[in-house]
This record gives sequence, C-alpha cells and structure tokens, in this order.
Amino acid sequence: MDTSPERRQYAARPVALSTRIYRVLLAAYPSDFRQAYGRHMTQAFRDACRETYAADGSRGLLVLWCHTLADLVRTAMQEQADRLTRKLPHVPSPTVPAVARVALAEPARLELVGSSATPNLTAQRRFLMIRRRLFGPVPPRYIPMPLPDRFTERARRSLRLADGEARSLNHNYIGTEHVLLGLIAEHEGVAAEVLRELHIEHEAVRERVLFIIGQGDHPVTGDASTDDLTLTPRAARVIALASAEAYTLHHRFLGTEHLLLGLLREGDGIAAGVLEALGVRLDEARATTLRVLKQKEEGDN
Amino acid sequence: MEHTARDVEALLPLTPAIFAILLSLADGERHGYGIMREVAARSEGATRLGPGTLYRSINRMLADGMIEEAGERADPTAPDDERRRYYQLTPFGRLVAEAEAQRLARLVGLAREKRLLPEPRLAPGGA
Repeated sequence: MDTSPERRQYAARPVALSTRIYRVLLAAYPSDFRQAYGRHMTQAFRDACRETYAADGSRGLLVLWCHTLADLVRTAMQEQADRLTRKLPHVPSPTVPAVARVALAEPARLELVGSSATPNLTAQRRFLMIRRRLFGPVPPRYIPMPLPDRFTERARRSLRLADGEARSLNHNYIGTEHVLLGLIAEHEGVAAEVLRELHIEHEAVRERVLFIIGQGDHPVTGDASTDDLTLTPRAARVIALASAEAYTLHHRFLGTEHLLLGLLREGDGIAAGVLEALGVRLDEARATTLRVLKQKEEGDN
Repeated sequence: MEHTARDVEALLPLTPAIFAILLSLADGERHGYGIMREVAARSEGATRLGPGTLYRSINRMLADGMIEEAGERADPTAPDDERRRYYQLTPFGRLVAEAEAQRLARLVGLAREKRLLPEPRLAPGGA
C-alpha cells in the first residue's frame, strides 16, 4: 500500500469533500430513516472513501461514487415508496377508532390547532382544525407517526374507551387524562396491569380530573362513530411518543403499553399530574412498565 | 418471544444483502462499515453493499429480530476514535441464517446433479 504522507492523511480533501456532499444528498431519504441512520451511513461512506482513496486515489473514489450514487437513488426511492404505500386511506375505516384516525391523518408531522390550551366547553366552538405543521414544542428528533393497522386491538379499544370517558365528563376533546382513563378501563392490557400494580384506580383518577377541570356544561352531541372527538395537541403528541417508544423497542405493534410509555414520556399533561398527585413517580412507572413487558416476553418462552 | 419454525420459514428466501449481512455477523459483532468491508473482501469486490442498502437491510433485520444493537464504541483499527454502532446476531437471526444456508446448499446439490456445477474437487493432498 502506498504510504506517502499524502495518501496516509486520513483527512484528505477529496475524502472530506465527498463526505460533505454525501451528507447533503441524504436529504433524499425520508426524515425518520435519516434521523435513525444518517450519521451511521455518513460514517460508513467516509470509511469507504478513506480506504478507497488510500488504495486507489481519486480514480478509486470516482468508482466508489458511481456505485454509491446508484445505491442512494435506489434505496431512497424504496424507502420513500414504503412510506407512501402505507398512506392512510381517506375513507374512514370502521375498525380504527375515530380519535386515532384524526391523529394519524398524515404519515408526517401534523399539528392539531385547538382554539386554546384549555378545554373548550361551549357547544358552538366545538371544533378543531387539523393542519400540516410542526408539533408545538417538539424535540428536533423526528417522531414517526404510527400507522393505524399497527395498533393492537387493545390499544384501539382503550382509545375508544378514552373517547367514552371524555363524553361521560361532557368534555368535547380527548386529552391525556382521558387516554389514561381509557387505559385503566381497558382492563386487560399491559398498561392496565401496570397501573393496577401501581394502585392507580379508575375512580380515583376520574375524581382528580373532575377536581382539576370540572364537568362540561353540555353533553357532547353526536355519537362516537360519526362525530370525531379530536385530540388535544398534547394527547396527539402522546400517541406520537408511543409510536417512538415502540420504534425504539423494535416492537412492530403499538399496544397499550406503548401508549402508557408515551404518556409517561410526555410528562407534562393532566394525566402526568394526576399520576404524580396519586403518589406515582413517572420514572418508576416507566421502569415498572418495562419490567412487566420483559416478564411477559420471557414468560412466552 | 418464542420463535417457531414457521417464523423462520416465513422470512425465507432472504435477499442477497440480508444474507450477506447475516454471514458477516455470524462470527462476531461488527459495525456498519465493518460489514461492508467484509462483504466486499469475501466476494473479492464482486458484491459491494452501499450504505443505503446496508442500513435499509439493518433496519428491517432489527424489526424482524434477526440482529440487535451491540453498543457503540470506537473502532481500534480505524484512524479516528469516533463511536461506531456495533451489531450482532440474535439467536433467532442465527436460526434464519442456518435455514437459508441449508436452502442454498440444497439448491447447489441439485445444480450438481444436473451437471450445472462441477463436482467439488479435492484439495491437493486429500480432503
């Protein structure tokens, strides 16, 4: 191998330039893929450039570029196509709870613009608009949105129950507190088990919520199948965080446990406040959830 | 999670890229470029994994439970001390790799029967 000082220098200009260009070209990939792997892809490409340049000089680099460009174009298109084919159909599916459909309208960043952060209890002003915008205070890391068919039946049931909880309180929105009530009411999932272990009871939570927010003035008109109660921005964020948790744990389906983890991760809504008021520390609850999940996994073996 | 034989079969046949990665991880953990380098070296340059193909495959293999992350650390043989993410086979991944290798071995045997492949020659001095 040629050991001239120039070749040995690993920060050679053509290598550094190639790496910079590659990093820019990574924009072709979907942003969640880029967030997860961009750094590693750039690193691997730089390593490859270094070795090739050291062995074959600029000609070797050129050959590497040809191959890498073809690889980039092909795989970026494949990744983009994967996301497009999972696009949610606009015809509402009866198996997906209305609330989840609202939050999952786009496999991209979206924001629920509420009229205000506090519950909107007057019948006239009962609407929320969904627009494509960045979530409020979202961390720089992109949060992948879950796909409806990725929800387990229990997760969907708990969201339907959350809808019911909101209506029973005459609330015309679904907030983190209703999601929590829904998880408890679902009764059979991992989240319900964890909450039982933490001695969190449905009645206690409901009382707290009534204490904090109060009952709505009018019953919510319309039934659950046609009149979508929309999620507060924070509740939608909980679902997105639930998806991120499932993604991090390499679980393919989003279950009640991920919804609970998302609630705990969000940390700031009414649900988190209620849990803390009832004596639960969020980090301990998270550890308990992960432990129960692990036990279940090992119990299956 | 218990993996049944059906889970393994459901993943076959593997794409060439995925099988190449499994092979490369079969004798120890590696980071991304380490996998790329071994695949190129073993095939004498015939098969080259690009970063896009590599990480797209890794993503899928992680989701299917064939591989897992094995921590991040610097590579002692690299000129810099940047942290690199290492990957390793899971027991399930090993099962899948074995199943695919057997499938290919059966096909190779068939090709030999049909005279598409020469019979294996003994190394000089006997096997």
